[in-house]
Amino acid sequence: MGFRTRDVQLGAKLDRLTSGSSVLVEGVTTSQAAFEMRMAAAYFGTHGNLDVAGLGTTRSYVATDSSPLGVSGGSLPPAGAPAWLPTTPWRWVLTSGTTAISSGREVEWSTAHVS
Amino acid sequence: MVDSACQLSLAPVLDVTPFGPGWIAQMIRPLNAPADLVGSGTSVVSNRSGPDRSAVISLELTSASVPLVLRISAPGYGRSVVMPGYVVRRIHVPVHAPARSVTLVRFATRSLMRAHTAILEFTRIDVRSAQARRVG
Repeated sequence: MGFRTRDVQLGAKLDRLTSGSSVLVEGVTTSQAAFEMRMAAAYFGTHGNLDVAGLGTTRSYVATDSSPLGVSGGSLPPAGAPAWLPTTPWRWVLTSGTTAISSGREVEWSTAHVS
Repeated sequence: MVDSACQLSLAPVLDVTPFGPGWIAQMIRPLNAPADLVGSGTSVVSNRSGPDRSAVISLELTSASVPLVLRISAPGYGRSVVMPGYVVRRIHVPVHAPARSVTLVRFATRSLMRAHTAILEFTRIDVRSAQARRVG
């Protein structure tokens, strides 16, 4: 199974960011889309040498909780544990679903909503 | 408020994000509050600019169940707010945001009715500079 089209699109966007850029993955949504976004961000963020924070905020990605894909990864801290706390300021934000944040973020790219 | 499968945004110099297990997954209440808190949680304030910033977090929130006491704590700041049920409150929290670092603002709720869980709905979380200064 390869990457979905929107994963590839996200990867292309992340590849264009400056190496070392800080990217916050935000949200507590436990949807399939949120899980896929986090997985793609982890993969392409590593590939692009980005500083990705916030992957463990939600139960949808952290493997010690049940994930939508049934993946289990044992040794990771549980969702929301202090080890996942963002410790450096971020320049970019990846979100999925609704957000209450309204601090003037400038949308650079988004996929269409998929129900 | 945004609803999309995936979105990449450029963060402003001052930004804020919720963090911690107290924030409830949105799939539980998909059409209601975009950020619900049960128990305690944290907001992380990011300042990616060079100078320190005096910031203000503006919150719009409602107790979605029972009357509760909300305790807000940040470096050099602490405040308790009694919130009746289902009444929208707007609260402004001053935050000192050091240069190129993050600052934690903590929220803790306590139900005023025994055996009832306090649920706090955040419909707006906004951070702005308290100084009218341009940022390069």
